[in-house]
Amino acid sequence: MSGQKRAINQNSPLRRAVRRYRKNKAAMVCLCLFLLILLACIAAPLVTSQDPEMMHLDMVKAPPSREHLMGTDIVGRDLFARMLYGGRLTFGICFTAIGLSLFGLVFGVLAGYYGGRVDQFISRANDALASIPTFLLAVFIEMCLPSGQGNYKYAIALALMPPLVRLSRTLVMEILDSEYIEAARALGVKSLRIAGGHVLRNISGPLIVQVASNLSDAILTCTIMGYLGLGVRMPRVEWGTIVKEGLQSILSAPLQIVMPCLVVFICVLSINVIGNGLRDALAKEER
Amino acid sequence: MGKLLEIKDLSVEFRTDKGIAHAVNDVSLSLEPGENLGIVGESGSGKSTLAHAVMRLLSPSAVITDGQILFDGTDLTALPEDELRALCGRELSMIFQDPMQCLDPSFSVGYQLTECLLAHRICGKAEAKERSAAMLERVGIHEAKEVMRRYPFQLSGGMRQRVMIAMALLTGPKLLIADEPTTALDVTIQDQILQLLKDYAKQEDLSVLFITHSFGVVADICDKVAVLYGGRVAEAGTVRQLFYRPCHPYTAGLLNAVPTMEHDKNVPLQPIEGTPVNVFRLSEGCPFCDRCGKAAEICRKECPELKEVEEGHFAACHFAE
Amino acid sequence: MSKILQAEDLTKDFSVRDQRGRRRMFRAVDAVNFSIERGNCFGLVGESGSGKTTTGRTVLRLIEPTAGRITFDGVDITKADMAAYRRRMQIIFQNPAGSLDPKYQVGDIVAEGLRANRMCGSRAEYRQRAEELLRQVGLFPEDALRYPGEFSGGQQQRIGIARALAVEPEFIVCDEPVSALDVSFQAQIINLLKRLQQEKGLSYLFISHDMSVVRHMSDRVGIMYRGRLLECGEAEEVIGHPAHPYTRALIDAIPIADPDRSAARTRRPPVYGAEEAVTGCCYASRCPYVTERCRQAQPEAKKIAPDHVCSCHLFE
Repeated sequence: MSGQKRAINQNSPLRRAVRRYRKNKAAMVCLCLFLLILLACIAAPLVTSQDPEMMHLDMVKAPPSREHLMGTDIVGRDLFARMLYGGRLTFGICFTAIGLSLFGLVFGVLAGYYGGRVDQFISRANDALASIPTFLLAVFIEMCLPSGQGNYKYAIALALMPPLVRLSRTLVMEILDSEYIEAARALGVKSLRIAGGHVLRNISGPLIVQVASNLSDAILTCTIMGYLGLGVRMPRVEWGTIVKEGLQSILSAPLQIVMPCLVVFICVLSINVIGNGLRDALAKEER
Repeated sequence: MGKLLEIKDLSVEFRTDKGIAHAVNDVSLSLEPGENLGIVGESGSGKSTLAHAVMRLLSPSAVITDGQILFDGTDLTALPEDELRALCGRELSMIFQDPMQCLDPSFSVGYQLTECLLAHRICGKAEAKERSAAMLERVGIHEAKEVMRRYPFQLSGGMRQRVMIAMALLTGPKLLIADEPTTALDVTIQDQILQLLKDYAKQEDLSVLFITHSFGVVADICDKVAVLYGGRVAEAGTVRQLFYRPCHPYTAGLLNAVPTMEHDKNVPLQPIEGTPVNVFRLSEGCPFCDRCGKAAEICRKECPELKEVEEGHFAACHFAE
Repeated sequence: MSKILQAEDLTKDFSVRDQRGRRRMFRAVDAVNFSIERGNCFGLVGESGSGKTTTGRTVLRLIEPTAGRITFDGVDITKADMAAYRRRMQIIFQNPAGSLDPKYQVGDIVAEGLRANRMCGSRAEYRQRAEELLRQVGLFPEDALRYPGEFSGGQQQRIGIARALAVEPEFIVCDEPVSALDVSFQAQIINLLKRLQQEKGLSYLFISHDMSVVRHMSDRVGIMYRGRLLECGEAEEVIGHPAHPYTRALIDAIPIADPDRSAARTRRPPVYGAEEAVTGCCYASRCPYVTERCRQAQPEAKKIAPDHVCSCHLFE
């Protein structure tokens, strides 16, 4: 088929999914919201002229103003700038963790594809991994690797892997069981081609949904790590450490803790709504 | 004789994100006590929607836009939910294609059977057990006491179907709605189940509304039959009228399309060409006109009304006579 | 005429878990013998669980047989490398929607076998061939760009047929190709399969539970029950003069689309029995003519007419 004709076709499963997603108002609003936060963080120096580390000692615990959109903290640092620069780091850690966790797919696909002993081994190892608490893993990693560098991202990556392994394993098994795979085998299609064509195309939908839900998990875990003191060391900031600092002035300047929490809340909520929207849009079409 | 079930100008539509599906359009049917009515149609013809509408088991996206369903003179569409539920299961019951749909996998067969007698306060616990066992025997399950202890998944498909029928008949309903109860079964089991329903209906003066896609099943069990196409009644009449003198081209086409044991192998079958009408896009003309060999100008412009071609025999075709 | 396919003592065991979770072997196909002449259609009739579908998959070696021999066009393929034979043997499935990958365009589905076997030189040629195949099965060339979900069941089955035809096979296993379809589509697909058989000289293994469809399609038929081939022979002979009590019960149970004849037929009361008979004939528990011998020994296949064998103690 020529590429041109392919482009004209309005009915590919992907296009239909996009169309369905765009009809979902809540999911669209949340997608815009999340992208806004993400882009603002990435482009932090362009969004604010304030220095996140500059202490305005004359303006300690200032309420929000035109100059300091979210006010200042107990040592007079601009919270808005800190949130933006902190978000850079938090998102950086989360996306790296998500990226690393995708290695789980390889194991899941292998387990589902080969079954038998390979499956047994991978599944048991995966169960073992899932039973280790994330925080224990993070503490252990902070002990082994240079601490205060955000190395807990490896712990998050490991913690996000088990659901991906499980999901990809069952998906692959389901797909391999279907009649179109049998038809392909009867046609003499090579195994590698079956894996690359049918299997890959059909597992992507549910996996995207799982990755979205993993992202919201990652942001929450990341914030909690920072809050518990496992986060990056000063002067670098991340959302978790900002929340922790805000706690010190919870009575005198409650906004200093309410604002960061609100941002994390909005982020996680919108990712979850996006995930739900994706699930509905990518779900198998009933006929 | 008063009518047991009367469906008047019923229209049901499904409001989905793909648009509105006109699943049932202006359907009128009636059923006398003790009579078996077959409803025949292909998938998408609205036959199942019709059955579910009577029991008010339609999915939330379905809306009854018009019409009445009179059961013994009461309009089921206007009845409050609790009164309807009291009526359903007692006076009218339903059996499905997939018995697992109405048998709860986590309770034993015996528990589920007695439960439906107890729920309607028909009798006490001991008697309920007694009656359930007797009903199982009656539907051809010989080790009734043993089967009552088992769970649905421990039974074969045919057995499950019998249990579901026993459950539906236990409360002594006047009307049984059977939604393709034998489609998933093997021919030999199907034959037994049909025989069972037929005998029971005759003995107990039960009316059966039998939804099916098979003319063979209709010929076996029904007195009257209605053929649905595109959510409309294409033809209705007694079984003999429809089989021996089909007046709607769709009915005639269906009867010809099925291979029989007598058909000459060297003569190709006569299929109805084309694809069933899409209920999302009904035109103002006859729903069958795109597939009909007799279609003329009028068929595309005007949807034919049901007209009586002989006593008790109706057809919705401009050319029926 | 030469035999295109022959199955000798074909047996397939599956390892299953019983209700208590213990592993045990379940014999889905038990020493089945049949052969199919080139250009002919062999119908395999049976109820659910009779092993007819497993038989169909096993002769294509989509499922590996436990024992027995499969000969294709005179060559023993029981242990052969199937890559060389995939092109010559194809399959059509029961469930048209499930057998088509929803994420593939119809043109790509049809061309999948062509690509796997490198049957065309260029992209344009693949496309042309796919469109031509769609035309052959009564669809439009434009349909190549659509997705399976946009078609009705009957059209989806046509796509499945086009995919099987693409590699120019000599032999096709049709696994209940019409049972999931609406009545008006069934006749369309049956006619299409028959037309293609005549045009291309195809041989079919036609699997179905519907005796009237099998009778219409087949030259020879086999009746299966619980993994065993109970009766086998020339179609008119077996269906016209059924010997085995099971075949007779099966034929008697077919609903007749004629009210008067339906009312006139006699029904034998069904025999209910414990399902556990193992040593003897597999039909013993439901057979009205059961004797002590049936419960003890398995009947041998016996020739009762020139092309008609039956495994029943009544004919010994």
